Amino acid sequence: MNKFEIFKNGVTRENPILVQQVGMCATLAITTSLVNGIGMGVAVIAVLTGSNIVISALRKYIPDEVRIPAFVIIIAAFTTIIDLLMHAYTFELYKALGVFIPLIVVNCIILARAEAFAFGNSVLDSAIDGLGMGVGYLVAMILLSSAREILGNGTILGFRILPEAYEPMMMAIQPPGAFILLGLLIGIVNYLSRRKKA
Amino acid sequence: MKNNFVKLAGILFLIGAISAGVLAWLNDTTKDIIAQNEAMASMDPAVLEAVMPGSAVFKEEDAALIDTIKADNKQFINLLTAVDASGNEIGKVVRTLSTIKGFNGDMELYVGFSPDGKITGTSVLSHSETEGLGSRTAEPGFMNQFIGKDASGEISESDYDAISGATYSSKSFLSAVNNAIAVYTEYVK
Repeated sequence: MNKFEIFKNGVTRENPILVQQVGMCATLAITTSLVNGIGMGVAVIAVLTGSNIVISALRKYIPDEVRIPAFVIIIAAFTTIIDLLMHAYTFELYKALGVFIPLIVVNCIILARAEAFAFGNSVLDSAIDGLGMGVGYLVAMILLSSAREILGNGTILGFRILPEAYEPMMMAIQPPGAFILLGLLIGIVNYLSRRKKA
Repeated sequence: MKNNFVKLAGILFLIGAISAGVLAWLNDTTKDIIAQNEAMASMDPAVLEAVMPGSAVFKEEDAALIDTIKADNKQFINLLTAVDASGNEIGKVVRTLSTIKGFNGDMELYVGFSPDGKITGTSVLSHSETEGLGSRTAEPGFMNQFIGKDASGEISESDYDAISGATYSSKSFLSAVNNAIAVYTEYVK
């Protein structure tokens, strides 16, 4: 696979949310507004790329038997780094994302990429893979969170785009709305990708 | 076999130690900025204005009094005096957590009281309510209904409008306001 293929793979064919459907907990909970979606997406890109690079660089030194605990330590360290940096430099966003930053640790997409890709590929390829998967995650978060914010609140990034008369569809920002809209989104993506193949 | 065991443990230990070292260093460098952020968020002019219009700064009260209230009231955090730009005392401000949990945890509020015992305003310092739903308790549309309420007794649930779809968050907010009133009537008035 060439470098661009690796990147594209993460965004489209193996998109973590829309195709692999991993790490749903944070995805469903956090996407109530576009700002949150983007913030979470960027944080995941940083953690995923960072942990992929380090795990790939260390892959010759980490014995097979203890690779999972080693991955978990490295991922937890990166998540804490992002947590501290966001707390210090993007305070507003940090307050909005709250408990979900520490939860990146248990986001399966990160452990999955460490195990499935970074542990067996070169540092550069792993970095590109992390970036691609991260961007794929971000794109899906943007789609889902804008749909939920527009329908559920009539705003986008806090600006009102639908007229005052629009009665917000409360369900869209509540948990059931997240499931329904994510389902619709996956359906649309499947429809489009099948039509492309045919 | 024994050697292998030692090697595995050693490698894990090394990874753990290096991670801990990096984190300790980063924690040290960001510690001050984070503390400053937290302090600024609670002393933001917009927050002061919302809690007590016209105030320039919130001054700390006597530490002994604060400790007495803290021993008596677990959710209470701080009691402050609001001072205007020319140095006149214009009211008291109670910083407290909610006594009833919200949808995801406690809310932290400032509640301002004028000398004649009326609520001058409120501000949410931290909450973990659902963004876009419970978080609306932190918006003026909800908070402004408490302005001018008499602090002589607890505000009951029939005296305010909860946010539809965010009952827990609204109740949690109300419980914090009532805790502030309790502290105010007991120790200030």
